[in-house]
Amino acid sequence: MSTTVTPPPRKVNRIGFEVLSYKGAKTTLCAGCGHNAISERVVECFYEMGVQPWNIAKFSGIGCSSKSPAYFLGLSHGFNGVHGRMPSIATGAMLANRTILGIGVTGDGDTASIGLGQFMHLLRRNLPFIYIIEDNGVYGLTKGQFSATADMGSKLKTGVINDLPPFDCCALALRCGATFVARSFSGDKKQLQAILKAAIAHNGLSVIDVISPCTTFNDHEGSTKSYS
Amino acid sequence: MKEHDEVLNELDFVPFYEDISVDLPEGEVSEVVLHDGSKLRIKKLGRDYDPSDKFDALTALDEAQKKGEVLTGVFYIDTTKPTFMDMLHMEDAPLATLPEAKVRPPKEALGEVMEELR
Repeated sequence: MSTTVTPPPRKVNRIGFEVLSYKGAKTTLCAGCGHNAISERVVECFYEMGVQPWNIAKFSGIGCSSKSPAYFLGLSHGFNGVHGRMPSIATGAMLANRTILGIGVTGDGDTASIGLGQFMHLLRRNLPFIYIIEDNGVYGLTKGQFSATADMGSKLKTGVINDLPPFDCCALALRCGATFVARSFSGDKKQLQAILKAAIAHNGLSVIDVISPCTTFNDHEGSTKSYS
Repeated sequence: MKEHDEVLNELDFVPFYEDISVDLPEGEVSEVVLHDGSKLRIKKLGRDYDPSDKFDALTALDEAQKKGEVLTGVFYIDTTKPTFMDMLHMEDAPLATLPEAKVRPPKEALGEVMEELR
């Protein structure tokens, strides 16, 4: 007697795509890094909202955060720009094709230090664009120096104390003209998903500052973004 | 070994950590324990928060910072401001798909400019 096994129906979104169509390459970031959780939320949100992958363009600068667009939306357009210069590249691309949905992933170094000037001008222009700051307060890719969002008084593993006050990227975004400003924590799946979906639906600049603790250089007693 | 040789990098071990996953209550301060045992104090905005006022948003951020809390949620939304594309009167179609007739001014346009400069 033979039995016929019917494969389970494919789970697809409203435009008929499986979640696999929204995934990217395997991550090379440290295990437990908050950036990986953010990439997972991006995949889920674009899948659940049924956005065509080839109608999305992803942009980034330099840093651990800026590597992460390789780990989501593998079928979308992408441009990895110069350190801190992602906003001008994205502005040009979005102006040339306003049918594209743009998403940029940057870090606190890329945004609040070398790219601060570009960030400020992006804020005042209200470009329809999703700008995600993966904020961990350190330059992880160069082994953990303080960034401009590190809290005053926080301490590096080497014992160096940060004497400078931080920039609050959300306060800057509010002051300079962004029309959607939010903050989340990389581990808060439910909240981050809801914020990302709202940003996808928003017609204007969405700035999302995501606190994303660095497991290697900024996750110890006295570190910024953590309070013992 | 040369005298000026200095160690620029040291080999280190990156331990394996699980992703942190939390579900935090709205309107309250929650302590999230990070991989090393240190804590992040997160305050999630409550449902009564109105994201339409920019100055309320700035005040809320300032107050949270003074208390050593990380405020999360949507602080501000404005759906009425024109976008950069609207301000520049950009075409709806991608620029690369526009026909030559739309991107190249006719001979008469050049004639008009030349006439103005005479």
